[in-house]
Amino acid sequence: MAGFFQKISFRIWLPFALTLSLMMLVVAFYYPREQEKLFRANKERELKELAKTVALGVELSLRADDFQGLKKTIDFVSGTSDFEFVAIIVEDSVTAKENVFISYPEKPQDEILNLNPDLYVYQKYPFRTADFVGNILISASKEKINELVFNLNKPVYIILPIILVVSLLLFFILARRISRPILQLTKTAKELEAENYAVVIPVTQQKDELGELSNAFASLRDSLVDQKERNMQLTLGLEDEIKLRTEDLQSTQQKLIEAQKVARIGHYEYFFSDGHWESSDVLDDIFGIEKNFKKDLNSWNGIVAPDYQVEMMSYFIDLVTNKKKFSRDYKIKRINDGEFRWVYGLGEFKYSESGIPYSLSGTIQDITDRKLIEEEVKRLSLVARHTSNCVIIADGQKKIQWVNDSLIQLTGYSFNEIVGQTPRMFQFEKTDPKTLAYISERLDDNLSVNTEILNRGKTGNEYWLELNIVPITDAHGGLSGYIAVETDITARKMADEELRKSQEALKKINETLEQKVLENTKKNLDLSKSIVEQEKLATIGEISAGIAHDLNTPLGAIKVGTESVHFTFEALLANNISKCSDAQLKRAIEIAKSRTVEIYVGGLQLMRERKETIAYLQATYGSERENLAQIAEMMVKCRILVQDTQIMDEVYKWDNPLDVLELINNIQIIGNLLDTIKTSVDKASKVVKDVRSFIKTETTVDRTRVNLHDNISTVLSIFNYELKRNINLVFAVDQNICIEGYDIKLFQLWSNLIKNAIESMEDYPNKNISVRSVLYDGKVDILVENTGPVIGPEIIEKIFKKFFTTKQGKNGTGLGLSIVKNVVDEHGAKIAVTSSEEVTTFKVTFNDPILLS
Amino acid sequence: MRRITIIIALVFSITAGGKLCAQVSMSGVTVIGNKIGFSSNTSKEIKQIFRGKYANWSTNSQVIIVLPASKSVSAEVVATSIYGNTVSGVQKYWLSLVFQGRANPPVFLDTDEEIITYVKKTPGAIGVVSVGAQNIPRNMVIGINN
Repeated sequence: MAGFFQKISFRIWLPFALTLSLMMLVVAFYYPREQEKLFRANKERELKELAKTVALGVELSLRADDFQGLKKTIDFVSGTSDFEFVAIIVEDSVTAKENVFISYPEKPQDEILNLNPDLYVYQKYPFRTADFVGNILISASKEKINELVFNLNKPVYIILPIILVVSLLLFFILARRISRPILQLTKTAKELEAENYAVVIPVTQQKDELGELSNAFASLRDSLVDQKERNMQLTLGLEDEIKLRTEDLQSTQQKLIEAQKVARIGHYEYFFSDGHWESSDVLDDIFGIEKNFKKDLNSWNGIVAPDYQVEMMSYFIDLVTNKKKFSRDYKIKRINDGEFRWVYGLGEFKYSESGIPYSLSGTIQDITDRKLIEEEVKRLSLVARHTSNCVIIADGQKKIQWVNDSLIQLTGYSFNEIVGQTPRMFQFEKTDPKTLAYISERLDDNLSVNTEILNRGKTGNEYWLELNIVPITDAHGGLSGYIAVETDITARKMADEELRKSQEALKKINETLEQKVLENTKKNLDLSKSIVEQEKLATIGEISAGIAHDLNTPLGAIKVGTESVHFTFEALLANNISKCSDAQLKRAIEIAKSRTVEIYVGGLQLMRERKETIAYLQATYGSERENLAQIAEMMVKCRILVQDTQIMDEVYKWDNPLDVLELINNIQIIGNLLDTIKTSVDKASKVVKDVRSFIKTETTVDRTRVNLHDNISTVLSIFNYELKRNINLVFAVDQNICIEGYDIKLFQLWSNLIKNAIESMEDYPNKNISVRSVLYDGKVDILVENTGPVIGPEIIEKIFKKFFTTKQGKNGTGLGLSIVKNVVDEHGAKIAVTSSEEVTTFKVTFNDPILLS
Repeated sequence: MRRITIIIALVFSITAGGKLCAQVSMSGVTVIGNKIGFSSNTSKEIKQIFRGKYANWSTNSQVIIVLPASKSVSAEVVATSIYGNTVSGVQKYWLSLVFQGRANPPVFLDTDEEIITYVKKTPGAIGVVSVGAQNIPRNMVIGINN
């Protein structure tokens, strides 16, 4: 309702309405009054005229007997609407008193003579005849007159309100019409304000102000729509960008969290004011604490491993005093399982303006796994450092980063002189350029290298090395460096040289012999024997490099083992024995003896066993013992496992289980090392024995039962070095086959066949040798196969002839296969050669094999 | 003259009615009528008729009274014999009757001849003439019984 009165249509209408109503009121009041006044005056005049007419009628009737005229007059008068009565009043000539002569309609005289002015209006008119004088009185009813007046004004009373209402209505419609465009524009403006740009604004041709306003609105709307569109685009662009950036940010954050989880890095902040600290989820996980763990100085001290607490405290004080950054490794003890973990802490202090530290924040990373690896690396580097072989570690540019003591001793250079140089520093003019080119070629292709090379030391000492270089690749297959293991083979080389010289001499003798053979007969068996011996020597010479290597390997192991025994034994004497009672000592030795220990047990197994042990101990004895986890770890190391709880309980109940366990462990380690040393010594002995049995003379050997498997495997063990280095060997001779024969001669037979096979494949990438037996029909075939070059039929024809060689100028004597033929003949056996692209086979067929049950 | 008229009137009335009528006893006047439903009546009744007692005849025709004008010679005699009043009194009598609408106004004529002629032409008219009036048709004379 209030809104209606504030509407523009109402406000246009109101003045009109007021003006009109006022006019109407004035008319309604004024016009009937005037009308009445006029009417009453007229009425008086009319009455007077009527009175006059009646008077005239009376006079005429009396003077001229015209009663017809009188009648008409009376009829006329009495016919008027408001007529009340008419009377003839006469004056008494004597008393001058008025009397009513007659009245029509008849009324009492008193009433006529004393007319009530409230009820009547009247007029008098005199008349006079000869004997009759008086007045005519005519009267009208006031009530009737009033009625007439009212009827007269009645139309005014009816019409005026109608006119008023109709006019007001018309004005109102008009006002609505005038205000409509304004309302329309107001509504439009509101729609626009509400961003409804689809609203229709009538474009008008009207030239008045409203038309202009409407058109201005339309163009304003267009401009708004345009502006809105641009804003929308801008907003959308911004939203998209914000969305993209938010996604980027979220993904970065997610990655960071993932990275922290993977790297096991957590974040912390320590506040000096109240000693409380805050930590991230990852850190809580590292510390093994729950969300509601109370984080203050006390609880922190509970997390740091007991043996690190004092050290950490002094480190902390040093940092604060000297305003340094926190950066160090230390050990913690996890709250939930008591496990000890290595962590790496980083942190920075924040200082107030007065220089007082108020917080320390940074990261803590769980580096236990890395520490385990580091320990392993330490052990490995101990091996590398102490091996008799020379070890060089170089980077991808072949610059030397590390060498071991053996190399320093061999070359005579100091560590610092070597590091940063390339191995070129050891090479000189006598070093074979082909070998160097070969090494470069292989390494460029990321392939390992096995070769021999002549180098020179600081003092000018020349030495031969057997060189084994392995490229090291990183996780992505990229080259990260090289490891070279070098064996000093100068001695072998010297022997080779001597051998070469003797072969030369032999060749000369052969030439002479040939002459003699040609001159004399081929019946000189002594000479033949001597040649066999020579061949034997040549074989020994050729295999001596392998022998040297085979001896060197166990000797290196013996050296490392002995050093470790020494080291461990010192620890045993210095730390362990003194801390244990005699009874414990005795028991420890018993326990140590009863268990087989591996020095390095793999990570996963170790962790599982450690967890099992911790679980058992906690379940059985509770968690009070603060070094429970350490004890469990040592138990696992000593191989006291949950399968053997009796000993576990016994050890755990001692006051100083850690000392006893360490004692047990060290005894076990020593035992283990001694085993290793013994095995190595056995290996070396076997090599020596093999060589010795090979060079025994056949004359003292009788024909015996020879096990073919054992016989051939002895020969293979002599060629062990070459075979193992780069040849794929298949050895499949039945262990139960024996023959009657001369084992030494058979050695010669196999060694020649195998040596030939090895040499034939020298330049071939895929080297395969197979030695196998085939048993059938009272015979046995020994097949010696290689994947070397094809032997042509013209060569096969002559292959077993004495002095026939395809290795002219390359140490070939032409005796090997003739010896083979001789041995085969001596055993009543046969030999055949077949050769194809795939395989070359020497088949030796023995009769009457003896089978062991 | 007046006497002669009355006699003639009487004679005529006898002739007209085929009966012999007695002589009017109202002195000096002769009453005449045209188709008024009766040819004779009592003087009292005649006087009543002339005083405007009836508006219509028994025949339903309107009663038209014809009197001599007040300035005519027979006015006074008629006033005396019929109304028992003066001429002026008769006038006032008729003034009051007509004023109140109680009777049709009578026709006043100046001479007897005019009255006779008027009655002759007007059915329902009743008039009065002096006794001596001439040429009164016999059938118009109304006999007066005592």
